[in-house]
Amino acid sequence: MRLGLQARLLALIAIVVGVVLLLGLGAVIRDQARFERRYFHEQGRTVVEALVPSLRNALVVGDLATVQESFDAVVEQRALRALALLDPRTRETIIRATDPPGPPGEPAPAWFRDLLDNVDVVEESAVQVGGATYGILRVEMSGEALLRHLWVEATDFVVIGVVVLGCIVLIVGLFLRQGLGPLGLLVEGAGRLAAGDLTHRIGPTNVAEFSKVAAAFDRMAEAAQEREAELLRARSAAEEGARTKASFVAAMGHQIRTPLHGIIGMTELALSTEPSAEQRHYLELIRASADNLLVGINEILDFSRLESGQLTLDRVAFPLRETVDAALAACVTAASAKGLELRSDVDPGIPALVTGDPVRLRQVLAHLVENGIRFTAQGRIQVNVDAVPGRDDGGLRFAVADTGLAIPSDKLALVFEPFAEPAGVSAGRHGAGGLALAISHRLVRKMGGELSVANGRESGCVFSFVLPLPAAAGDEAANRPPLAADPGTLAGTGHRVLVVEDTPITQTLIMTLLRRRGYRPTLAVNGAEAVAACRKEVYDLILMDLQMPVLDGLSATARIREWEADLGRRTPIIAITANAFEEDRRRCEQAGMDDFIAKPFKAQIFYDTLDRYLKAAA
Amino acid sequence: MGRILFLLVLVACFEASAAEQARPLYFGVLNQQSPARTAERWNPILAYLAEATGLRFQLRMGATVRETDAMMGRGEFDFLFSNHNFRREFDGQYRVLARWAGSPVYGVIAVREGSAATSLANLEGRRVAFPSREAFVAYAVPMEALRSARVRVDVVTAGSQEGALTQLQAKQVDAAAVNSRFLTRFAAQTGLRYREIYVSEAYAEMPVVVHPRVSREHADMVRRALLAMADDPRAAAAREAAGSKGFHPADERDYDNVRRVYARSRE
Repeated sequence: MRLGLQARLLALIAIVVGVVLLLGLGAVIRDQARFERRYFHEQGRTVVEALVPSLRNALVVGDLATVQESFDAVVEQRALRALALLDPRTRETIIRATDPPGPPGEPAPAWFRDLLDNVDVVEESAVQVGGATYGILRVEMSGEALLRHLWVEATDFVVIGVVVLGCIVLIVGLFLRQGLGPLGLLVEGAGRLAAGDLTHRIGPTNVAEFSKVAAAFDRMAEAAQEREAELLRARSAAEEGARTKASFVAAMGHQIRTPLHGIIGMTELALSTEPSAEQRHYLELIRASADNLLVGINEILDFSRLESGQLTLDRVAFPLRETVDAALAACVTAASAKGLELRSDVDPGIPALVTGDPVRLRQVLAHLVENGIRFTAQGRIQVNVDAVPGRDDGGLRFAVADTGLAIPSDKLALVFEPFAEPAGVSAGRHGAGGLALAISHRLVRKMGGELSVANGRESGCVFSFVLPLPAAAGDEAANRPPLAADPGTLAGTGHRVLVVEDTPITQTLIMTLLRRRGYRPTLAVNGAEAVAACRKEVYDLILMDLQMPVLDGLSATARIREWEADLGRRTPIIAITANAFEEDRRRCEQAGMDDFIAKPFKAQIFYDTLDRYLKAAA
Repeated sequence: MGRILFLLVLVACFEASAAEQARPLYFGVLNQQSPARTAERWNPILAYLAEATGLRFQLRMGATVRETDAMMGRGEFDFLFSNHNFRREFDGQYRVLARWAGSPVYGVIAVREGSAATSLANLEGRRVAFPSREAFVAYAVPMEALRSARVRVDVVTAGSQEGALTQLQAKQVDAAAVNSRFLTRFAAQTGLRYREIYVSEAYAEMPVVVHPRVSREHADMVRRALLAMADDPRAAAAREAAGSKGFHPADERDYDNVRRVYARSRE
């Protein structure tokens, strides 16, 4: 236990005063004992001097009876322990008178007697007359009375000492309490400072020393307050900067995607107009370049959001097998172009539905497969999914193996660095041209796993990771529309589609795509028009842009849903926007939208999504 | 044979002497002063005697004259400084060895200088102070004189000669009976002015007497020591303590007048 300053001071004072009092008591008692012993001796001598002359006559005539009477009287009168007459030659007792009863009161304890040595006093004197010794007069005085007297004095002294000590401790304690009171203010001040109250000041106290400390404390608080203000300003500026940056990235993404959307869409439309071979070649170059640009932009946006922590994960039940297939499906075209085989092997023991973020998982797998395709000249890309035995969190091991070039062992660690272009890449393979592997690496980590890479036994390399994807309750797979559809096998078959879009190029692109598949599209140039249109007619599906003049897509959706709620109807509404972030998707869901197509999109993705809803509705 | 008999006699004598000294010789002193004062004066004398004779002595006395006389009557003293042994009832038991040195003393009846009394007859019915009824020179002798003169007085016992004279000086009594030597000394010390209206015949100082059981040899040793005391340097302290000049030779006849006084006062 740690004692406080006050308790220590009080204990010290109590000990010092106690010791002084005890020493004082010892000195007083010893002095008193010495004085009393001297007094006893004097008394003894007095008795002897007084008694001897009166004894002479009796002793000369041998009147021992008279001597005895005198002795008895004196012993009783002077409170002596004994008076005796001894034979001068043999020292045998001739006469003795004693005072048997002891003095009243409590006897002193043995240790107290030992402390004071012997306090008994014996005084002797020869009784001589004319040169002849008639006897030795012996006066015995008991120290018992003295001891008792001293004991009473000592106990009184101790009681008084304890009272004095108590008073001193009390007074000093009060003084200290008053004197140390400002400590409490300091403690309170420090506590409030620690709790964040930088405006608190202690101010002057009634103790000069503490006032100095308090002033120093107040200066410190003042400085801390100023520092905090500076920090707050700096943080505010930084946050503002971050917000600006995030807005900039989002705006840039939107600004770039929208025209890119137009380029891709229009290129595809142009390609579908049976151009000459040369034109087709150019158009395909345009489309490939636009696709690469789109991939690059998406990667930059994803990476940026991952780095800034803005990217959030879904945690929903999803069909694992379909997700893996969808990832492969996205790469089929590229693989086919190089004559590569794509294979997937999902352990049949794995639950059909697992819990996690299907979009991000698909993204990672697609990145890895695309990476494999890129560095494989011939052979295949194999995706394996196995359950990791002994894990109760539904751990699944994903492995993407290719038959391409191996990575030099000393470059393996650099594969996941963004824009990693290690020396000697020309001799082997390197990162997926920038950010794809870095993004995958970060996404896997965010999902609770660790992406690693190793060279294959014979050739190529294997990317693998383990994710906790526990089995989901229920079986939603049956109710869920298929993620992939066979392109070209489905047609619009006269479905009425309301297109809400303000950008002319996008209007043209979407309307063309719809008409080409047999849909009957109606255009609304802003949210207000869309709401009005919905009130007039019934549509099978609504494609809704988000950023529009007059009334934006989210507000329009909300109004439509309101109006439909009264009619007991629900038209699928699919957002089409260049706001490609996850938060945008969430906001769409919250507004009552059913799905989300990010601009720029490929025609196939567009048709797949429409088919999913219209087919389900059918 | 003769030699053996001599040895036996010698041993017997030695044993007798040893038995005699198994206890100290008791030396009695008549109460003329307090026992302590008596012891202060006499213990040095006894110490001297012991030194001079090789015998052991112990002072013995009663608390009062009567007790001492009774002890004397019971033969408890080996030696005794007293003249009460000359009383008829005790006379003949002790033998005189020597006497206290000094001129004879006289019994005196004194009055204050201006007193009207000029003879014993004038004291008829008057208050007369005496030291005590046991005193010889200061009581027995003057009382015998008053009786002879057929004068009856009011006897006032003062306790001591000093007391008697102090009462006379204070006019509490008309006359005081004391011994001549003390009267002279007291008057010189106090300035008492007095007139003697009766002076007795001379009486020898008190004797040291010896009990018959004490061997003649020891008695002679003591006598010689007593007589030598006046000049023996070893006795100087004793002489000074006792205020004594030693002892003089004396015999039974020196105390016949004492015997006579006791005999008459008895009648």
